[in-house]
Amino acid sequence: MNDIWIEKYRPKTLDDVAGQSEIIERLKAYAKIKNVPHLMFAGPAGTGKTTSALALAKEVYGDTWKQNFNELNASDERGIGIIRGKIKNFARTAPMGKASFKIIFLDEADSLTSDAQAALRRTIEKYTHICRFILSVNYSSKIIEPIQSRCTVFRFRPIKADDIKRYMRKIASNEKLEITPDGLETLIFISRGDLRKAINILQVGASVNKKITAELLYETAATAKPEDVKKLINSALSGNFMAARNQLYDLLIKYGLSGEDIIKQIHQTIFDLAIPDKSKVRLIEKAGETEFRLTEGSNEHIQLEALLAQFALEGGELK
Amino acid sequence: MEDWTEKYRPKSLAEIVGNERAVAELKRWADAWNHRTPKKRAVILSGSPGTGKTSSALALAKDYGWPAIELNTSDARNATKIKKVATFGAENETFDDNGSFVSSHKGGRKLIVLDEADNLYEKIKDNGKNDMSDKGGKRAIIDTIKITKQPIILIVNDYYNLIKGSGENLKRTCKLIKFYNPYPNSIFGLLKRICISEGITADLKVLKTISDRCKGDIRSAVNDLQSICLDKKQLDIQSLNVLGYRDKNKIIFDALRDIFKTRDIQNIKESVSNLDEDPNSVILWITENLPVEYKDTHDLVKGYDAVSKADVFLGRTHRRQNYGLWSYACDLMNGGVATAKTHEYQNEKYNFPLWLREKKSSKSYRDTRDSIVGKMSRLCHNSNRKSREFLSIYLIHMFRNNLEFAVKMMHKFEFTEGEMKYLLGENYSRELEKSLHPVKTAYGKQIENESVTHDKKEKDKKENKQQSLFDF
Repeated sequence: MNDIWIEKYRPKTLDDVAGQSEIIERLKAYAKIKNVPHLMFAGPAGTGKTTSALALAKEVYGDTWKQNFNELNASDERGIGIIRGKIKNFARTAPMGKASFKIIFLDEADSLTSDAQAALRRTIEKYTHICRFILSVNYSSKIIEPIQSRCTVFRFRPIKADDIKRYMRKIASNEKLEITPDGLETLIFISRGDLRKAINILQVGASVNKKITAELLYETAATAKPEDVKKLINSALSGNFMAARNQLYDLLIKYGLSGEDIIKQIHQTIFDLAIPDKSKVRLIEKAGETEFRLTEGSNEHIQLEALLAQFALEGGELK
Repeated sequence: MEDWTEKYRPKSLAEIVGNERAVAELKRWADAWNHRTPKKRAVILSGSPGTGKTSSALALAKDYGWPAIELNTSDARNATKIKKVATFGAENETFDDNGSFVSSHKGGRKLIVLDEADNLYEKIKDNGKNDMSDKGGKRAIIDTIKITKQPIILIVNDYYNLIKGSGENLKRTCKLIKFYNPYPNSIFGLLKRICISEGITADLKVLKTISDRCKGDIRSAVNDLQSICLDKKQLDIQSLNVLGYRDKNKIIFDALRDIFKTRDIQNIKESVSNLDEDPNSVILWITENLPVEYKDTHDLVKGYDAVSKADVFLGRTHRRQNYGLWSYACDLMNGGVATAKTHEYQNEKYNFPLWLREKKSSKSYRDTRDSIVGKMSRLCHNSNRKSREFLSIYLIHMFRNNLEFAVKMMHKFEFTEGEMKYLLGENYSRELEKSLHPVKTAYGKQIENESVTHDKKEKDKKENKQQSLFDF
């Protein structure tokens, strides 16, 4: 093990991208004529959006791809500043080498604020002759209509089990691992079509043992699962509000999770709780209200604490 | 009336209050410049406000007869401008304050002072006209230090803020001099000298109180003294009343008591506005103590609902910069929490917000995490959010399961010792140390031809690193 596998085994060419065959065919056609429209890659995590964009850029530009391809992450800077600053600056400079346009890959574009999206729309229009955009999003509906209408939208599907299997086998032979048949099934089950997740879990497993069994994977996946959110909820439900609050502070401060990450995980975890369905529905409503207030408010922890109080109340009434 | 903080600003390093060690270090660095360009061309003076950093820089310039070119970032925060002004001073000949020509060729020095160097790139004006690039400022400083033939002093409150991200470079190229808060006694001495020079007869208790209260901030102590003197020549203990010196904690506890124990929202409003505290911090105090007070969960939920709604107004205030909305936030958090209770509670003890304490105490931990995340994002085509997830869910486990892997990744990502400690945890770090020799043999055999270890050693030699657990 010499590398981070998600990077080492990231496909270098469009042909190597796992799954998404129709999309890849279209992208290859773009690469052939060396012209690319504005694109939007929509789909869940680990389905090849970033990989396809990188591979496309390499095939369009060849050696000069690094100069003509700029990757930006909207989740790190989601305000209007990134559009007017970095993006505009890159968009308006001339392409390098023989290229007639540059590509800006905007990862997690759906986390841009609506102000930022409005500004982006003008930038796309203004520099379209020398710059093409590829927006990567989980949900295309989070992008304002005018931008959507300027992009060709490709929908990335969860990777099929067979494709994941093939990929896992390739890595295994390369890394001299042995994956047992039930190990393979487990990888498919846990990853649910998210190839990045499958590779990560495989690598955590391989860091323990060269023989990858279902047991090993479940064990590693369990340590690698953010169990803490469940702990947090259980503390609150059992009425130990102060303990829950301390755990919350740990997640926010030490682990550096965002309030949004936590509320999403709380939402998912509610289904697994041992409480009546009626209570689950009530808590989901509170969680939804909390997520809304999170986006409007200024202190994430206050909003989440308020939600924990709701859990404490629900727990108390069930007793 | 002349501003005393300027009037009594030290004219020479000998007059600096406290911080003898810092001043001595500064002198050593300046002396080195008198011989030749030293290895570290810039110093960073880091410390709390009012501890004498700017004064020391200016006093140094006077003592050594170097004209000071002061670059206050509040008027030139734009990167290109910094570069222009700073490199102008750094590369070209200039005239000093009196108009006489100072040539660096003749050995004449100029001192470039970059004040508030830690704030510079944070202040991004979002009006679309200005340059947005926040890295520009840091870059400009780093570049300037590389090429300068003149001594540069950077002044910061927050050293961490300066060296994070691309500023890491500065750690190597600059000498850090820390300024500590001077003792009340030293400040007391200064206040006494000022009184004598101004012909003021002061009750020493007054001076004692001011120097105790200023928490090491000399500037605020001098300001306080001047504002109670005005045109008086006599200071007695009553004069202090003007300053509104009150025990901040006592006052906030009183306000909390009003909120938690009473229901008269008009009275509570007055009591809280007496605090003269920003609602952003009042809400933290209320939130901290809410669950301590409201033991009934129904009251707790209602109380939290009130602070949650108040927080929404704080968010709106912040986003729209419409401070008119603040009053709604205040009324909601004060009155809302007060009217939420259905019981009388016995609690008497209120706590300082844990949130603030935790944030502060975990700062370096978080900074380490963020620098790991930054390295990962750059190499792995990830957003920082994705990298953070990868780090906490997967990478930590890979590292702890497999030390050999950890060592390889350390080289690849150039993780520092601190970052390795973060990734491996205290116990695991010790294990790494213990297993270094077996790792060395296994590792050495495997990648002999890749010459990674060789490179690493070369690099260590070059950087003249301290012996650490990673030298093997």
